[in-house]
Amino acid sequence: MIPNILFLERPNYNRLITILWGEEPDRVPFYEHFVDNEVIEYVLSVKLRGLDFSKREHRELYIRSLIRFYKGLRYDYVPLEIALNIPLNPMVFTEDTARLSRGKRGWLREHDGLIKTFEDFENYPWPEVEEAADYDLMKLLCKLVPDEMGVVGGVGGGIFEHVVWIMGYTPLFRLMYRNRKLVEAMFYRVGKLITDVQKILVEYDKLVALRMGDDLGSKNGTFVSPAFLREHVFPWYRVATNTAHKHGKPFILHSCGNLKAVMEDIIETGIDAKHSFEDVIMPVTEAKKLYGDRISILGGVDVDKLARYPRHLFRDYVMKIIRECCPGGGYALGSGNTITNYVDLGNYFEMLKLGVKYGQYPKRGDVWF
Amino acid sequence: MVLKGIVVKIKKTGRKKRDRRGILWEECIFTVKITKLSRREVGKTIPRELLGKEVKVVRWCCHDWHYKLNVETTLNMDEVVV
Repeated sequence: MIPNILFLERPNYNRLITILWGEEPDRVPFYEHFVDNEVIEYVLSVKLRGLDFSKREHRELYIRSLIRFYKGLRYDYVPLEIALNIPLNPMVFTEDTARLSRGKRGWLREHDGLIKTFEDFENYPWPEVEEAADYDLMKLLCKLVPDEMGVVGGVGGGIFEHVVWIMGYTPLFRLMYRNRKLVEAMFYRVGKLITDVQKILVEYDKLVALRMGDDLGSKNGTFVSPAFLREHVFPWYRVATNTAHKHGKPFILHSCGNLKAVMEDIIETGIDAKHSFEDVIMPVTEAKKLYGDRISILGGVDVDKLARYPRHLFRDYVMKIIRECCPGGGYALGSGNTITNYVDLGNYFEMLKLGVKYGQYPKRGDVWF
Repeated sequence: MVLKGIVVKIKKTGRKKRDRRGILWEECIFTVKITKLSRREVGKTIPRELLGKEVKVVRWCCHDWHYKLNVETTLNMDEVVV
C-alpha cells in the first residue's frame, strides 16, 4: 500500500525548517496540519479511538503511534496541538459517512454560547497559564520523538476560534453590536491565554516550529470584518510570531477561509508560513505567485481532489503543483487542509510518491551522487 | 549567513552523472543575482556590497522545473566571493 520509494528516504527536520525560512531544501518536505486518527489506525493497524488519556500507557500508545505513522511516511516532524483546559460549547453530531467512518461526525453548537454577559465572563473558569493545557503530552512527544525528527505544534485552536467555541457564532455576531466591550474583553482574555501558553511550549527544544490554527472565514470571505480582525486578532499573531522568533523558530499559521482581504495584514504580522488552501478560493499555485516571496506556502493539494479525483488526473494535478510551487523553495507538499478520513488513500500515497520522485531540488556542485 | 537571489541565466555544461537511484543529473552554471537575506536571518540586513551582485554557482539539475528562470534560489556565503 505504501509506495516503496518512500522507504529510500530519511526524515530530517532541517528539511522542513529550511523551507519554513523560505529556502531550498534537498527535497520538498511533506506537511500536514494533521492526519485523521482513522487513517493512522488503518495504516498502522492500531486502535486510537477510545483511548483514556488519564492513563499513562494510553498516552504513550497514542504518541508512539503518531511517531510511527509520520516517521513511516517520511514526514520530518510530528504535529501535535494540545487543547486548552477550558469548557467549550457542547457539540452536535450527525452520521459520519466517510470511507473510514468514525461513526459520528461532530461540530460545535453555533446558536448558543457559554458566555453571554460580563457576569458569565467573570464566572468562567479561566485557568492559570501553568494549568491551562496538557503540557505533559507535549513533553512526552518531545521526549520520544527520534533525533532526526522535530515537533511542530502549539495550542489546539486559535484566538478567533476559541472565542467562537466559547460564545457560539450567532451570539458572537449579535454581541459585536449589542455588547462590544464584552467581545473585546473575550478576544483580549483568549489572546493573552493562548500566547502565554505558547511562551511555555516554545521553550521545548524538540519543538522546532510553533504553529497556530485559527480558521477565519468561509469560502466567500472572513466571518467578521477585516477591520475587526486587524484590531482584535492580528496583534496576537504578531505576539505569537515574536515569541517563536525570539527562540530562533519559525511560526506557521493555519487558517481556513477566503482571506484575500486580509492576507497582506497577516503577512505584516511576521508569520513565516501559511497553511490551508482550497482551489475554489485560491489554488496554491496562485498563492505561491502572490505571497511566496514573503512567506512560505504549505500544502494546497485540494482535499476534494484528494478524495474524488481519478488517479491519472490527480497525478497531473500534483505534478503541476510541484512544478509551480517548488522552484525557489519555501514550499512543502501536502493537502490543502488535513488528511481526512474520507480522502482516497491511494491518492494520498500517490502525492507522497510524486513528492519523493519529482520533488528533489537542484544539487550544489559539491554534493555526493 | 544564508542569502537569496534570482536565477537570471542557466548554462548547461554538458556533464552528466547518474545517482544511486538511477536518476540522470546535468551540471549547469546558474547566474544568480543576490536580492536579500533568508528569513532565517531575523533582524539582520543584507550587506550593501552583496545586494544586486551577480554570482555564478554550480547546480546539478534533473527535473524540468529546475531550469526555470526568474525564480528565487538559495546561496550560502561560501558561494559568494566578494
